[in-house]
Amino acid sequence: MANGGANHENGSARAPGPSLYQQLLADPTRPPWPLLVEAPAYLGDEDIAYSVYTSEERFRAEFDHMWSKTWQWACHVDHIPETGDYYVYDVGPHSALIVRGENGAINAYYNACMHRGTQLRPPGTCGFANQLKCPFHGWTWSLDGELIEVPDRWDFPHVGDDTHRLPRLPVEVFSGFVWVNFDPEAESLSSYAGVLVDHFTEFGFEDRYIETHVRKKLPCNWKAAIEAFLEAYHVRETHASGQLGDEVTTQYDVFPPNVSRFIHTIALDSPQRPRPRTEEEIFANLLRGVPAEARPRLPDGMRARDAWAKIVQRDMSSRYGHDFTNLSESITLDSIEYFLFPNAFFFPGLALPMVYRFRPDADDIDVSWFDLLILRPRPAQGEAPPPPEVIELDVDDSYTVATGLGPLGRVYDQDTSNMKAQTRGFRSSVKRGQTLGNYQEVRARHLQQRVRDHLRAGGFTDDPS
Amino acid sequence: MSEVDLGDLSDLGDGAMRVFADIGSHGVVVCRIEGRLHAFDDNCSHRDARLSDGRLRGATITCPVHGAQFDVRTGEHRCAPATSPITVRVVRDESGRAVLGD
Repeated sequence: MANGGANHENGSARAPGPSLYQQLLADPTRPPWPLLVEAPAYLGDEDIAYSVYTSEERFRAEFDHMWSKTWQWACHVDHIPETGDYYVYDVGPHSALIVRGENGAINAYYNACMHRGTQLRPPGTCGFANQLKCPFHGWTWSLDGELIEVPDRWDFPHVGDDTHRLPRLPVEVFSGFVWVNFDPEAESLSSYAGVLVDHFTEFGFEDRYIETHVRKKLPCNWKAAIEAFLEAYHVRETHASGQLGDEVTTQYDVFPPNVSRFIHTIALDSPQRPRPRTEEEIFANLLRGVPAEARPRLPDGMRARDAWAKIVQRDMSSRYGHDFTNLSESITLDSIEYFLFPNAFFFPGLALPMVYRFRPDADDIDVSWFDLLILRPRPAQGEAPPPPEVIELDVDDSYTVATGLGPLGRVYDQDTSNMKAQTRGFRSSVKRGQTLGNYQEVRARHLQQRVRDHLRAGGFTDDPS
Repeated sequence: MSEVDLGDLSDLGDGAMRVFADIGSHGVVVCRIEGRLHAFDDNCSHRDARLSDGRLRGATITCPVHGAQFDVRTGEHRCAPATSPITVRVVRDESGRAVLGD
């Protein structure tokens, strides 16, 4: 759809120039079929009230009615490889103790002693146990959640092995990650995840391991944090000093109920640039970090995108011991970002292979926690390295201390640089809500609608003012 | 405590632990992390339990009883219910011979 001014009442207007779909079809190598699916959505153009970010009552209602009822990834399978390994996942007041049991089984329990409620293992820990013993009075469960010891059992005739076994919460493995849902009646993850299940069969996330893991404290509400990453509209101002780039053809898709996506190409010129760049100029820009004498030449007649894809494929093939030379240019280079409500992001690309998770702070509405993972292909031979220690960053720490991020460190510093100011603006604005672009910011609208859906199902309604 | 010769520990791989039960009042655990040897008393600071019954992951040992965690390089406790560190020892790796100091 190449026009600039269609009927604005149904959100059909698009940036001038070719669509992303047309750009992908022009690549020499056809991308995997999910990238050729277009699923635009128009979800209305009402402003989003700032109270969704500032109402303490709503913040608590989100824990009661939304965080308790949705699928979230708790850890990676590599965090609990052996029997007895455990991982504690917390979001607000909710805490799940995920344990590798016998015969490879993965168990998830509500992290609270069945005697007087004490958490069995501390928040955010990754450890090991032969059995689960509470530090308060020594009540003990097996790794399978069976009650095996109650000191002075004679005093507890009202306690049954069945009534006081550790209660399980739904847990599933998908794409190499362990997912939990705090609602014991939850639908299956594959039902919840919708199209993701089919799309992800093309991407092989289970063949990746975690190379770098950074967790940063962010100075904004978790929804504002997520929204900063749902669109590429900010790229020109936040990342590129006002220059339009390859992100202008970004495609935005919504796959109801819980999935959205953007795809933006790398190394194609912006169709909106007043003076188009030559392929040599694009190529030189891609290689700007490489010393001049080490820079390869762009072969005659070859596009920068195609040459760059070959360079990245060869580099990644030798680094990780695989042959990536048959991959499409799109999977090799592009920023392909899938979002699974409420808080998970997966990038199946080769050069941009991130996974994100966002969580609200348990106490502070204006604070959130952002896990940023870089995944890499598992070696063809031998074991992948164990998961790395998490690099913990405070609000004012730079991402550049995490050397595993390479040049992306600066990009994430830029992404998080607007958050404090926006958070203050939520309260200082006389206008009562935020206005969103119909197409480029539809995924933020989708996020807000899904949160509202869960709040309403739980009986909480937003104050109309 | 005077120095103790631990013998040849070149077969102790990365991430592995070996217990020397007769040294000190609780025994001493020697482990290798990223090529270097570290050593600590085989005793949790929270309760009288053998840390060697736990599992070493990265540089963290988890006591298998209640989940107290310690950085074995420094002895520092990392989470509840531990409220104090464990005792670490100096260990030198001298080509073919590991020597435990104080």
